[in-house]
Amino acid sequence: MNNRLYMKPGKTNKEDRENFVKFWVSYMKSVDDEIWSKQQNIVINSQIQNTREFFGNLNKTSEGKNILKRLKEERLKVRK
Amino acid sequence: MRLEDNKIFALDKIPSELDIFVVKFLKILEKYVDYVIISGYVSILLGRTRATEDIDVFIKPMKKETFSEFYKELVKKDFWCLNGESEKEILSYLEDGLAIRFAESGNYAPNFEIKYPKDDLDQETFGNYLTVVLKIGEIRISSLERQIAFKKYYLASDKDVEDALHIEELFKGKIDLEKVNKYRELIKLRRNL
Repeated sequence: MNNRLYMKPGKTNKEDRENFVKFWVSYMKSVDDEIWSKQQNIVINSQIQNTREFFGNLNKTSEGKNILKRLKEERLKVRK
Repeated sequence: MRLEDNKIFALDKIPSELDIFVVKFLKILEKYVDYVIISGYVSILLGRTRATEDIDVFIKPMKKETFSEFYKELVKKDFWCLNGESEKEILSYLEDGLAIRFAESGNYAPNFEIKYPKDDLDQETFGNYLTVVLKIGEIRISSLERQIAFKKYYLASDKDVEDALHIEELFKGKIDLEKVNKYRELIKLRRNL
């Protein structure tokens, strides 16, 4: 028997994204936490890795170092 | 993942690098002060397929001495503050109602964005939170109803509305809709002040 879930495409980008959220939750509920979390981790861990590489690369050049300095100054203007 | 009383059990969830970072930081933070995590990371912790660079957290106001001990331990455990290095300066930001950020030394992201509650509606988070139980530790998050209301009616970007939808779908039938509406009214009131 085919237990595959199918996602309904949305008519707009917004609807399509919302349909994916619903589809993903249905999937989460249909499998063990270990199964869905492995897939979620690919999304999360890759973004963390990209961010680290981005800042790491900036630190390698003097121009990059200036950008980091400016970023640090910007961070001081923390939001209310 | 199952919700029982005020706990969400996710013991089989494989922790992401983000979860590991969060738990590492919280193990230090919780020694010094009460905290509750709010905003985007909550829906990610509960399974949403997106990432974030910052983890927003409310803490109760800290005495100068307690903050000093907290800050020293953070530095010792290889965290840095993105807003400065002087203890006095960093604490003054908090006391002025500003948010301060901490990341692992040398990194800018992911980072913890820490702030004091600014009114009764923020303060209420501490009386109404859930604990998510992971195999690597426990994480306190604001109530699902508060999450949904703030995401839908306060922040309201596409990403936030989708975060709210994720929580609504995941805990369908277990969410107190009256409570969500109450938060909605309180948010409206705050907007009109």
